[in-house]
Amino acid sequence: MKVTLSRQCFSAALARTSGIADRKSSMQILSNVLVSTEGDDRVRFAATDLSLSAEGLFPARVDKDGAVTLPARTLHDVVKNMPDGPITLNVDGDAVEVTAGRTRFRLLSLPADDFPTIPDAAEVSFFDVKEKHLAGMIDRCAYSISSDETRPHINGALFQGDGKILRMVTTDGHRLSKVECRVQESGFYNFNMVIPQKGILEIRRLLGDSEDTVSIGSLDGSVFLKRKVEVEKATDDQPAVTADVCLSSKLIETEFPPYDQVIPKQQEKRMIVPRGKLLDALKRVSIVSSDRTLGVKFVLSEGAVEIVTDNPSIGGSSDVVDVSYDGADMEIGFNAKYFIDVLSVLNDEEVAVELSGDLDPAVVKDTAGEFVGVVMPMRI
Amino acid sequence: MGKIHVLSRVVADQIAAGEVVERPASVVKELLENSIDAGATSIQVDIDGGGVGRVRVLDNGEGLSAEDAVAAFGRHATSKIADIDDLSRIDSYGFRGEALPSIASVSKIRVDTRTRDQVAGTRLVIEGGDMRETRETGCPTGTDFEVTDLFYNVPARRKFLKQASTEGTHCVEAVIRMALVCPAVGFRILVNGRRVRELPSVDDPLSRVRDLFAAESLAKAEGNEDGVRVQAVLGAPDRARAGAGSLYTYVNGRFVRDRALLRAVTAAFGGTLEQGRYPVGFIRVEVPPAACDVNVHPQKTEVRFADPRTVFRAVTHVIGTMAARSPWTGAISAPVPPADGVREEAMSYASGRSFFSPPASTPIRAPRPFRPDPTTAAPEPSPSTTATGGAPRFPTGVLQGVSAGRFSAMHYIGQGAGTYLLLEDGPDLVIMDQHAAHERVTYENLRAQLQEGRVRSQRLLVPHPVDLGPAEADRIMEFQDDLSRLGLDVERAGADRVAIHGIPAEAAGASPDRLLAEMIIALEQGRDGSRGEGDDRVIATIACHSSVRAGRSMAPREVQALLSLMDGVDFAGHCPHGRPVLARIPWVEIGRRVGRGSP
Ligand SMILES: Nc1ncnc2c1ncn2[C@@H]1O[C@H](COP(=O)(O)OP(=O)(O)OP(=O)(O)O)[C@@H](O)[C@H]1O
Ligand SMILES: [Mg+2]
Repeated sequence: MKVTLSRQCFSAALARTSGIADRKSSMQILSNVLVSTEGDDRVRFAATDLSLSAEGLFPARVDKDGAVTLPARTLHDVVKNMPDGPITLNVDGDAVEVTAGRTRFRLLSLPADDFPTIPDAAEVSFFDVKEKHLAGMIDRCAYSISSDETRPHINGALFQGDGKILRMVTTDGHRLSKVECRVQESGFYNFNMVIPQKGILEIRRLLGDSEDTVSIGSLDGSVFLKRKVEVEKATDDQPAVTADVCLSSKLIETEFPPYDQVIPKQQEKRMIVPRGKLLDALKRVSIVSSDRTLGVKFVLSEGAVEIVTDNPSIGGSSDVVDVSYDGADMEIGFNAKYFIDVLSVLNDEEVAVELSGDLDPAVVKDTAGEFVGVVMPMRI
Repeated sequence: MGKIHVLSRVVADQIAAGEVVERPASVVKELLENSIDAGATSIQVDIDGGGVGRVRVLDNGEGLSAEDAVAAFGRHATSKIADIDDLSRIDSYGFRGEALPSIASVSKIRVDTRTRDQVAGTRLVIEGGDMRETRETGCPTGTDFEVTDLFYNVPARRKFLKQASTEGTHCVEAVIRMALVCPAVGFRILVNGRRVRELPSVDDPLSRVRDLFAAESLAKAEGNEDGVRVQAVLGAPDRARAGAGSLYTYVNGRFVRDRALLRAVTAAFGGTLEQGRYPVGFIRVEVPPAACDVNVHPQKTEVRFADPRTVFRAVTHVIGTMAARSPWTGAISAPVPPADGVREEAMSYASGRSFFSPPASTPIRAPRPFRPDPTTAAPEPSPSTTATGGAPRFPTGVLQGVSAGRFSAMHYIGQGAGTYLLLEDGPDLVIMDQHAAHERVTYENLRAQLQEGRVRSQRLLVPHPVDLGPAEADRIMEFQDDLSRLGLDVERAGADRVAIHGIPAEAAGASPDRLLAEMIIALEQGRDGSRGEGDDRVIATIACHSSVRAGRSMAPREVQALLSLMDGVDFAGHCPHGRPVLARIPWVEIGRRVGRGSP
């Protein structure tokens, strides 16, 4: 096998895949990246940790067909440090050589036949969605994914679509977030999947905030995300060079809990709060403690909410935020971190906070009606 | 002539008088005994409205003829003994002829019964002891006995009953007591129409005990000494429960509560059982009928042995021999491997049964690993629970010499073995146990919260259901207020189920059912001491659950946070004994080791 890629292209290919390769795995081949020729002008790069896989087709000159696997990290380091210009990968029997100009490296390989098969996207029926929509959903939900591995059914995000609405829901048993996004793009079917936390984060890494579309689909217990990435910018005499990248993640087979029953339909009290100010106040009172479970009390009265901490082993603090509220006076406690988290993922000027009793859930809603967050109180 | 005759006055008087029917569970017990006496091999028990609403026992025993059915409700009508000599060699459960008339006088009864050689069955309807209806009816061989509206005509008695769910638990408990000693009989229990237990007929007590205590590792022992036969199926001593509530003891097939028997168990286990704790399981002692008197208590739950010492010796010997082998980790244990647990979870969601939390099948137990002999095995290096039952050990002594405010100023070098934080403090290398340090800090936090009133509690989005072994729900509800004060909110959610609504905020990431189990154990251990001592035990347990496990890597930021928290802790406080949080090695000493001499 003999292939030649531009340094930029080679480097981009490894940047997209080598992160998935599992350095700590006891199966050595999983820390390798598979490089194989595809026709005479493209090279496939693939890496997997068995639950997540990434592969991409990158433009190249193919002089001789073949396939090989190489240690992903080492190869990436080698390529990054090569001089600018074309890089050639030459495999001759067991000997693997990477050369650029007069620089040459010899690397150890493992046979391509031993590389696990990764989920095949060929049969997947994809639908398109703007990357900024998908990224926005993940950004508002990822914080409340449970990281408790003994509860696999909530170790991921529920991702649903019903033709008009895309929905994502996450929970860790103490709080829950739900984002619904109306999308113009048509052509997606009804679907319902639970994507593990690692998959969600990896998908997010592949997304920007542009109007560009990406394609999603699922098949045989895996979700696939496919997109074009630019590997070389357009120049005066050459259009941009792009590559096709596809990420797949095994889905969680366990059914996500019926989240709807947990979101209160009707709350007794409602206040409209300036999000930034409440967030600042909470962050301020939190600095008295590096505690993970700082309890804060919200003391509601007409037109204002007082944020009080009184932590017996640390000390206390208080702050007042003007809000629009005309309900009955009440006090309710929360883990400050939970409220900081939910306020941080929103960017509205104002959000609604709905409450009932002091042991009942609090509901946080954005202005656009896309987001619902549920935070369980702390009895202080 | 029918099989039933009326006892002579003399015999009747010799029979312990007293109330047979104290609560719904007594009805269940009496009806079950009758069914077993009638040779039933399959029994269904329905319990509605805590048994006050309805108790129904359906058996496939020999049934009653029309004539006997009516006679059975007469005082001292029994088919089981005829004269005073019979009384000293009872081999049936019933012998007084008292149960049915007693029950009939305080409830409404319907009986459908048929013997094998009758074509038509008999239906009786009795209300407050008055026969309302006797007629022929079609029914299978056996007896279908339904008691409704218990104490409807004695409101004073009704007042003394506990809430329906508690009475219901006692009724289920009554069935379980019978089921354990009659493994060959199949039992089905329905509570408010919902099937709560299905116990198939099995050929040995081990299988029956295993069906009831599925999560326990069980061992069986059998022996015969001086005419005393002992049979036992017991759980491992390290999983013993506080109190004998889950140790079912029988004499000649009757469930009894006998202190001498319990003492024999304690003696058999020697030092392996913590004081006041008993293994779960089943012990059956058989002595010749003449060697024991069962007629000392109206509910027959006490016995008097003619020769208690022989019985004590036999029990101690048989169980002691087994305990010495400590077979619990061996072949007949049936623990559920965690991987299966996960799959189970998946299935129960698919069937739509449960909610956010894994299916509630986790029995309450102490999740400590089994150690047969605490004197030879290395103690688990967690300062939170003690094997001996003393006050919680907390690391303090070794910290003397470190004044408050010093920790965050130390230079953090790195983490070793995923367990130790390496710090440089002037002339010393400081090696700190991250788990112990964090636990210590959390413990102080919890103490401070408790001093303010109560431990802060994080509410759960969805209550976490916990299914319990027989009678354990009651035991837990007794501690409801204490648990709440200590940050764990638990409500009853059925006859043998509770639901956890909130857990201590400091331990928000911990598994709720394990936390509940260990808090209960800590509360029970502390029960005899002062309240403060019990609380201390519990918050030590919570602290252990909330703390960074050994073997987890910590980011430098986390380490800094922990160190500054430690600055705030008054290490000169209480609890002088305990495992050290840190060790100091002077650099000079390290220099000596590498042959450098003094610097
Ligand atoms: N399920 C049943 N199947 C067949 N016979 C029954 C059944 N229940 C009761 N009997 C008959 O009714 C009689 C009266 O029952 P009852 O329970 O009142 O008295 P006992 O069982 O003889 O004595 P004790 O009062 O000690 O229980 C029994 O002796 C038995 O012959
Ligand atoms: Mg009887």
